[in-house]
Amino acid sequence: MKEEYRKHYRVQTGANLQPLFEQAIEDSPARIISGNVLCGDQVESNSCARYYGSEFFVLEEDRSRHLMGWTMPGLFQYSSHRVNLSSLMSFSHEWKLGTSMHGSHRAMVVTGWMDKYQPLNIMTDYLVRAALAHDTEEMIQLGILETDPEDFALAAFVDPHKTDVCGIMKKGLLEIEEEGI
Amino acid sequence: MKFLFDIMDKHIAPLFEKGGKFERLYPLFEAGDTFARTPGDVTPSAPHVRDSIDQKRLMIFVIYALLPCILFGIWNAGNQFNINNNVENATLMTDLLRGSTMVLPIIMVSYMVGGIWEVLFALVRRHEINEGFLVTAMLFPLVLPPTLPLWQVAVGISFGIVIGKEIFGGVGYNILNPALTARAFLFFAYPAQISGDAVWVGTAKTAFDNNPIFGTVAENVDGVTMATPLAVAAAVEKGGDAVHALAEQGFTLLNMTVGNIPGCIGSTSVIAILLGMGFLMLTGIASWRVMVSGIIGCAAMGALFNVLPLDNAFADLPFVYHLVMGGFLFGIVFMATDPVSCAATNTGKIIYGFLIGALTVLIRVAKPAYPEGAMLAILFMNVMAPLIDHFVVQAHIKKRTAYARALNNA
Repeated sequence: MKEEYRKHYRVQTGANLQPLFEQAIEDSPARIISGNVLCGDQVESNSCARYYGSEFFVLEEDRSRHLMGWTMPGLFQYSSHRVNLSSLMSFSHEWKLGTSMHGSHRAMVVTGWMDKYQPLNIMTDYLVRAALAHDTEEMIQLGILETDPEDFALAAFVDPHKTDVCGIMKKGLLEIEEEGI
Repeated sequence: MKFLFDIMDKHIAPLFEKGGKFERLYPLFEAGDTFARTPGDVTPSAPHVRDSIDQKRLMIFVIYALLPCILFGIWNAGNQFNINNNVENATLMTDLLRGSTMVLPIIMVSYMVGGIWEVLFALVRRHEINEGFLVTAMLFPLVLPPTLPLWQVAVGISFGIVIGKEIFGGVGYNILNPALTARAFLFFAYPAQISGDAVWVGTAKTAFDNNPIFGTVAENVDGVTMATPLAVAAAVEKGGDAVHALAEQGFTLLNMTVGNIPGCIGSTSVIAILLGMGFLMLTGIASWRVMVSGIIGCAAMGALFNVLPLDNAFADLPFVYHLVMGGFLFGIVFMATDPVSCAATNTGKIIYGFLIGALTVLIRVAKPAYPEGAMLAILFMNVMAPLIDHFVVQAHIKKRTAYARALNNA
């Protein structure tokens, strides 16, 4: 996205935003997100200004593949864990984040990492497992009703197994609603 | 490089994808492909950005942490051989060469046989090949004596991978640590080759062993009997002084810390293990809670036995010795911290680690027939870990309900 287009606009609700996006987005394939990067929806470039959406994010659709990513020093990639050389950089360093998964989906192995990024008093690992097991009772005991899928966005961000934590929570909440508990 | 990758993407990848000729072999292709380059997938839904860590990087960092132990193990296996077989003109180089001929075949067999099982199960079950096996197949050789017959290595790793892990559903679903399951199997099935006094130092058996590259073997000995510190301490009779008995056999705190003593390949050197532990803590990959509470548990139980008026020489051994002897430190740093089989809650990890340390000393002192208490303690606590977690989670739920009730009443 071009630098000069990062600003506030006054638009009418329902206005077509395509002309704006066409000008603002550079050639590379981009993803337009209505709402926050952590919990927003992906929208098409010809979408309209929504009543409930006051911000848009444009991220590079990053399908680049890095040579031997499992052992490279990782100087230019952000990680919240101390496994990249980049973690030595100062907190104010600016990172370019794309939509890359940086890995493929695996079974959950490491425990306790998601809880570090969970602001609520919730055991994320156990809640995810209860949701995967369709155990509505335990989900409620562990406090799923106090949460929203987006509360798990940070946990999903740091998860090394690339589990779709937000999706799992969404399904769990829907299940509870269907059962009418 | 780009040219090769283009060929791979255009001509080879379609063969393995859905509808391709080798569709069934897709996990194998995926493993090779993502080994060469990170996958090009993009996030399917929110959150739209992801951390750059993945499981491959996670597991390979554990291997990095093991490197000091591997290198020291190779040198030590060669060094023990050269000292005890009266090898003339032995140097650092010949130690390393000799050690390599003993240790590298064990590691290679472990990787090859373990890899075959892993790939086989991945193909049949149609899931990706999981990187956890890289760590298992490296941990297993490091807790074996350097003279173990290679067929036993193959049988052991097969048992560990298939019974210890795959029948539960693969990495992430197993109850026991696969590498320790493999070792426990060998320990009870073939005790003659993995325990006792005659297995820790190699002897020249074939013409290859007498090759002058490795230094000249002055005289061929049938077998070298060298007790490990644990065996020496366990053999001390009532009323004896275990520290004195250890020192008589040449085991002081100093050389048990450095690690130039007979023992399992990777677990003799406290310094090498501490280097790995520091790396794991620095990168935050293994749980510091398990490691720290385990060491505290071992020291506390050792100190308790020191204070108790027991008529047992092993119990009177200063607790520091328990920390540096045998496979305890290696076990607590690399085996007990296996994230799948250890407790999953933070409080649970502290209890789990502490009990491993305490049980290790208890088994060593109370049951000298099994000097390697660490292995049994870790396996036992692996089984108990879900129970610990259950209580921690129940306590958490209770606290939550109490809080909710207080809010409602207010």
